[in-house]
Amino acid sequence: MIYIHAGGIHNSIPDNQLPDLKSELKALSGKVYRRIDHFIQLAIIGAHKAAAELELAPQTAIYMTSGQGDIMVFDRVRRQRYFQKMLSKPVDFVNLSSNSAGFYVATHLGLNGKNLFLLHHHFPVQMTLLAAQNELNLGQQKAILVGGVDEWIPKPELAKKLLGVDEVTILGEGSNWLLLKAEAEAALATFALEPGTLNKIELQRLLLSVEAGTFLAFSSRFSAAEVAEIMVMNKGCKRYHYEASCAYYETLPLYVLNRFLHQEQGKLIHLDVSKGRYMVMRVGNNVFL
Amino acid sequence: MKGSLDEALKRRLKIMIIEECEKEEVTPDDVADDVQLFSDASGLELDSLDALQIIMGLQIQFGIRLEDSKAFRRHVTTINELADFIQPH
Repeated sequence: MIYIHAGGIHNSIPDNQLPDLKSELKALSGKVYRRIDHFIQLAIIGAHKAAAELELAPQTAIYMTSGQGDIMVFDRVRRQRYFQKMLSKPVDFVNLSSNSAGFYVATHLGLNGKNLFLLHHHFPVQMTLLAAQNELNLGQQKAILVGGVDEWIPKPELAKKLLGVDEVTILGEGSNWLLLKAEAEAALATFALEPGTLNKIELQRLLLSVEAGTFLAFSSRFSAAEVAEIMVMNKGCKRYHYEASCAYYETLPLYVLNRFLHQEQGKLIHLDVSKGRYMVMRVGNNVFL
Repeated sequence: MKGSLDEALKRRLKIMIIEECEKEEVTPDDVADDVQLFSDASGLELDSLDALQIIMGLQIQFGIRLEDSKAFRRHVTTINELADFIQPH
C-alpha cells in the first residue's frame, strides 16, 4: 500500500488566450524566472502548490508526465528547423530537452533526488504512477512527487491532432501533483493502481467486488453509453462528477484524484480506457477518520 | 544614415535584446547607447546564453549572421557600435 501525503492543483480552461503564468508564478513563489517557457512555468506552479506547506526531504524524487509535452516550443523549433531552415534559439533547444521542466521543478523546490520525465499517450498518468508505486513498494524511493502537466496552446488543432481527440473537444491545461510515500503516518489518503490493463469482463469482475458507496470517476474517453452501462451494472456505486470544472488534457486523471481528495470523503475508483483496455486507480481518504 | 545616428534602429536593437534576454524589468531607456552591453555598467547582467539569444535575434529580426564568437565580440559591444555594424552608412 502506498499513501498520498499532499496534492496540488492548477487547472484552467483558457479563453482563447494563453494565461499569463509568469506573473502568477512570481506572485506565488516570489521568484522571477528567466528562460522558462509556459510549460515549465505550469510545471513549477503545480508542484509549488503541492509542496507549499511541506518540508520535502531533499532526496524526494520527481516523476513527471505529460500527454503532449512542451508542444508550443516543439512546434516553434520544428518550424524554425524545417520551414525557415534555421537553428533553434538556444533557450528553446535547452527547454525542449525532455527533462528540463523536471530540472526546474527540482531547483525550485530544492530537491536533488531521482528525476524522471515520462511522455506517454493513452495512459501517461497511470504509467507514471505505476513506476512510482513500484519504486515505493520496493523501497527504492521514500517519497515521490508525481506530476502531470499539459499546456493549452493558441492553435489547438495541432494538439488535437496529436492527442487524437475530435474537433469539438475543448482543451484545457493543468499541472496536478501528488506526493506519494510508502509510510502511512500523516497521510491524507491511500492510493493503489491495478498494475495491468483489463478487458471489459475483467473490469466488471473487479467492479463487482467494490463496496457500496464507492465513487466512480470516468475519464473523458468513455462514451456516455458506456458510462451509463457501467453505472447500471454497479448500482451501489456513486458517480463522481468533475467534468464541468475542467476541459480535456491527457493528464486529467491527476486532477480528478486531487479534486476528489480536496472535496470529498470516501473511496474513489478512477476508470480510464484506451483502445478497449481499461486502467483502474483507487484512492481512499476515509480510512484515516 | 549611420546606425549610431538612427534612434529608431537603436531602439529596435534595445527592444530585441530586452525581449531575447527576457529582461522585462529593463526599459529601452535604461540601456545606454555607449555602454558595453556585457559589462556591470550596463546593468543588464547578461551571460553567455544571452549572447547566443542575441545572435539568433540579430539573425531573425535584422538578417545579420554572426559566424563566430570573434565576430560577436567585435560587433556586439555597445548599442552604438552594433547599430553602426548593421547600418554602416
